[in-house]
Amino acid sequence: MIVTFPRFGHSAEMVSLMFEELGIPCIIPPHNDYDVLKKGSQISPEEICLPFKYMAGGLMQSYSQGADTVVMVATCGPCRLGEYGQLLKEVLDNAGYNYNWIIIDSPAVIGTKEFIRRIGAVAEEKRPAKHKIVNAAFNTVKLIKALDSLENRIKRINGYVGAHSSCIRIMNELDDKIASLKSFDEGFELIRATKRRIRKLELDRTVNPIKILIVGEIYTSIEKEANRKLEDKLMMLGCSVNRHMTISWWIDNAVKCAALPAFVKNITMMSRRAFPCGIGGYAKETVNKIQKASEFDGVIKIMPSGCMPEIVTKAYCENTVNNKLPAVLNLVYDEMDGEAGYETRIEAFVDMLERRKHVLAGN
Amino acid sequence: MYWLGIDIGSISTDMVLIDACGNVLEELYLRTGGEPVKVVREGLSALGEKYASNYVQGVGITGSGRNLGAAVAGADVVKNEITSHARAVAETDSDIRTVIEIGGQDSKIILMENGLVKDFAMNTVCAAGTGSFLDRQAGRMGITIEDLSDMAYEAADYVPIAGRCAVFAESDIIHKQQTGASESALMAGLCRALAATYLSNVAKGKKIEPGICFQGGVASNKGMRKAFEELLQQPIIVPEHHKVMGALGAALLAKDKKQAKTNFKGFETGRLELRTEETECRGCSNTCRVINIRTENEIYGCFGDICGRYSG
Repeated sequence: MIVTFPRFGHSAEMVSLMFEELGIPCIIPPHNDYDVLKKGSQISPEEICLPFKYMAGGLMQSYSQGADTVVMVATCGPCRLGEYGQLLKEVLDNAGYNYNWIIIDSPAVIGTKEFIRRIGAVAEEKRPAKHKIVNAAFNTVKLIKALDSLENRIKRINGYVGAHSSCIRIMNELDDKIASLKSFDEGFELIRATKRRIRKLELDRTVNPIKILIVGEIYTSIEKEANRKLEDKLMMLGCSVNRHMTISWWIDNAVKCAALPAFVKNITMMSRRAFPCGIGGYAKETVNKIQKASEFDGVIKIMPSGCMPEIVTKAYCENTVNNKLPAVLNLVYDEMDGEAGYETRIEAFVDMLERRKHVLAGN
Repeated sequence: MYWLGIDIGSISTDMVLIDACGNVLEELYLRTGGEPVKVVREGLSALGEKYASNYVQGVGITGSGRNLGAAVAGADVVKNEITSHARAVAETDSDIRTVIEIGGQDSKIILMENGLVKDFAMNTVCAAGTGSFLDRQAGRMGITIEDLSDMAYEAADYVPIAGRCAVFAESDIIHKQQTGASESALMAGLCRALAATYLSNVAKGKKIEPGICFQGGVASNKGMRKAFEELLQQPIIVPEHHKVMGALGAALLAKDKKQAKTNFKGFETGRLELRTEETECRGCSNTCRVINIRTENEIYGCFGDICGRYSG
């Protein structure tokens, strides 16, 4: 059994470390790029969203490298009525990719017994010791969280560092090094080393940089290629960037949703005025976040073309300027390759915020 | 002392030369025709016949081809179209609150407040709300775009046309022609359809406040101006330099910057034989495609690198 899984930001490398630790052979799908997308869109339904195409393309690539089992943590998530993983399976099955599928859905839906059986199926062949599994899972989550908070920190201080390219360079090097990690210890050491590098950066606390919050569809947020390096562009323009959707957030949310359903009700309460009922995706979280984004100068809301929940939130965002909320820029990503349009919009948006902030403040 | 502004768009390339008071001394409106480097060179040599390079104090470049333009001509300010247009509007008339800009392949709305951009939107992937819609339909009926302007302006009535999609609009026009609608009424209907598509597509959800300015290549069209006035029930201002507002804004931004020494490479660039070639940088994992503009034996300028290693 050679395991593979859909690529989802840095979690891909971390999860592969986990499998290695447990002695389960695995193949990481390639980094998302033009070729992956091209492959994925060949077999995907025409109207499906961009993340689906990337995932399908990545799994096709893994298949050609010899993987035979897909482990997908689908959690019966909010997309495609909870059948996202199932849909991916059907599409790949029909295209002749005969994978074994282990879809880890939420125990609330499939029952605890089935949940444990599916988890067990992953470790069936090698049968690693229980404490080893717990330990590896714990380390994976810990490393993912440490990475997310580190990246967040780099993106935040970017606005205060004179030479913005130095922050981007640190980020790029971090990405490269993550790809070649051999063990969890190396991972934790990498984080410590990067923290030391950040501390050496000279920060100018007197500047008041433009603070931008990125919200929107989760996969497009997390995968750099899917949002055409939006964060790099913003960092190059000297902004402090914060992203709402991270893998850590997703893990917390998934655990909370599974463990305490009351949490879900809480969310409903907060954005009830905008959405009296759930509409799928993470639409409520997006609206919630925008409602509470007053500390930011602007919000960039991203989504892949055809993402229904985010289309609905877009309508909500249209009048934010008049409701004393930060200005919102909507960006829609699809297979389109040209970048000029995105660049113009992003640059104009940052320019607008900058001029308003500094000219209106009397500088 | 002069400041030069260049706007390299998909359809037209505009150049503006302004003096220290912001007066427009010279304006050029050239067809890009898919050869931006050639057009920039043409424009520069045309200006070079009347003006000397060393009097140019600064250069601002905007438009979708701005990076290319900066590599060819040398620039002090490289800015997006929205900021440039807004800057030009703020200079022309400070009372303007809404800017309607329709170009060949894109259209935008800019909401202004105290001379600053408050909010903006651009057309999405579809061309139905842009100038090429008029161009195409007029071309199909064998009417020049100038005639269309007059016919639509003078038409007493208009025929409603479904303008949401350029392809369906065409079938609709064919149908209306068969039912015997007059040409001028059809042209007025076309303008009306474009204006309505713009308002429902680009300006969707935006509050259009009085002090409306209409600019871009399409603003020369009197029929379009009339259509907007009728739909919005408000007077529409078309500024004197409406065709070159982007270039004017870029020039003004360059003037604002007050840079001591300009990066302008001189009007002499117009006489050079330039060609473009693409190379891949292997400096890091980004593998940027760097585009070099070169003369026979040296690299004249380049762009496309994220980090600024070559262009910076």
